[in-house]
Amino acid sequence: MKKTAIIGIGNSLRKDDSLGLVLLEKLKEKKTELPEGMEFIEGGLGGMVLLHYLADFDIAYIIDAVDFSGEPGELRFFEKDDVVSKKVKISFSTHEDDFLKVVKLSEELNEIPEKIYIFGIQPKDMGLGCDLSPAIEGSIDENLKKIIDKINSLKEKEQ
Amino acid sequence: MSKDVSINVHHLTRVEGHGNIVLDVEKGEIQKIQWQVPEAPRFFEAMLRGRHYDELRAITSRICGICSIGHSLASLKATEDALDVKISEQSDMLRHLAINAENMQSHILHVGYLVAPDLFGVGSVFPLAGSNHHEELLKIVKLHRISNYMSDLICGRTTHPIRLVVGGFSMVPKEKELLKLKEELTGIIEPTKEIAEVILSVADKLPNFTRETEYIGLKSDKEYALYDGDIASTDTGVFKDSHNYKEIMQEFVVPQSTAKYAKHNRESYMAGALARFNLNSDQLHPLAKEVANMFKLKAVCYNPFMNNISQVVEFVHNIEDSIMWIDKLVENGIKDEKPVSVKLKEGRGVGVVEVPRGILLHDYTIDEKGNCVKANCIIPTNQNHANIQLDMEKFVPEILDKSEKEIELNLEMLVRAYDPCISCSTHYLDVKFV
Repeated sequence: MKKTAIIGIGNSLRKDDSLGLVLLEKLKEKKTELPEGMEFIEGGLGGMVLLHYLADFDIAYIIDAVDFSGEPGELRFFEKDDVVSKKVKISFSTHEDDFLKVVKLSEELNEIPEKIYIFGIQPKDMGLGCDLSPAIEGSIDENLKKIIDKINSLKEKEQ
Repeated sequence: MSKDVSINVHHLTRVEGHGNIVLDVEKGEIQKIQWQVPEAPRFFEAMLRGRHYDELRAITSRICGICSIGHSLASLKATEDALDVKISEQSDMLRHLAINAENMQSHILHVGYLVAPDLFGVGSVFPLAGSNHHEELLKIVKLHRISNYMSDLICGRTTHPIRLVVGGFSMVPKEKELLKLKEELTGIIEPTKEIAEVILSVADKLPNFTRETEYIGLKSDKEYALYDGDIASTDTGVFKDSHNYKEIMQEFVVPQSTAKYAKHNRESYMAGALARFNLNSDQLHPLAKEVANMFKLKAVCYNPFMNNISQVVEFVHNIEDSIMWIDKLVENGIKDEKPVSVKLKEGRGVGVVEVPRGILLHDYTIDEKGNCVKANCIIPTNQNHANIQLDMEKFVPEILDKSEKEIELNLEMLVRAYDPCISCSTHYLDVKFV
């Protein structure tokens, strides 16, 4: 069985930046609705620690706040190469530049997972604070369902 | 020389703090050299007031994302000192492993990811991948990975430990896990030596600069002091009374810094791996001594750039030391101990440990209900600010014949050599010439 991880990235002190962590927690609660054997990893602010996490898995799902000038709470799904090759026009926020560098480094060190899927969600407010802004809070359940459905459909394709 | 140099380094980082360098030279005359620290106060000591003794560790762990194990241990030692809690021999040994793990994590991150690019002449660690230093990078990543794994195994998490609690450990590793760790540690001895060889091959890039200063760190009759010992100075020797640490760590404020500075016997002192080496080099394990000899590093060394090399030496020592503690733990048999129970009492406690950047001290007063009523934390980086300033004042005239770009790089390297907490961003100093 392929080793699979869901990694939530974000800063829980910067409002909507924490949405990756919030969704990760919700996914843990709903793990019976996901394929078996998934590991849930709190990736925090990312950085070099992510390099070590990535090396352990065949498939990694990343959930993070991504600024692509969309509607607050809008979810976009893309694969690692879509971002690196700039096929998806986005301007990553706070720590994601590092994240992409870490992914690149992981690739160059030949230890990158076979697949990296990214769920990017448009934040509204990245200011200081522990709460999500209302628009993002309101999008959580719907995005949670979308993420679960997507992971399950990818799993089916894989088989 | 009638050279004009104007450097205004202004870097704001959200990670751990801010540092600026201001250098003005007019017609070869130095008008101003200033190491500025405009960090915002963080009020951790105030946050501790009113909190129950068993919350103090978790709160202070958050002072630093790199030294979270060290802050936890200083906090636990202060709390246990205040409450007269004596931990078991097994917990003491496991805490030695914990502090080794943190030192290894931090040192390889600093030397491998932050200093090596300077020595290899690249801007950051990322271009090393795919370059002719690719193999070295693979080894550095491996050393970092094993260090993280060790922190995770002993402390329950890579960063911000959860198993370290008042009275011991909430959970202890199993024998087979420790034996696996020993195997991994044994496996990184050779790659570590190879990395040391590579650093030696480029070590001439470290400036040959010296300034006599005082070095302060822990010292112990039993071992190369990291987890425990007495406060000691290369100038004045061992100070047995840690409760009166203010006689040694004399903090003061300066206009250009929101962080406190510190001094003792001279205008400044240095804490960190070089201070520890200068105080305790004869207690290093054999391989670590070999590596120190490779670099011709001898106590007392007054070149702050050699702090980088002291970290390499300590990394080797930490591996050897950890293997020794694992052997002892396994020989004794791992017991599934619960933390020692606590009887509430009023008291004051001081906990001192060595963390990667130097000597760290927590001082708590706890009331009869077990709540903290007063706290003081003395952080290594703060103890080094005055020394950095004085180093710059001596260093700049020695490098004024270099280009502005080289002066900038040399000053960056000087600050980076101290491995201040803020250096977790790869480019510590964003230099702008005006």
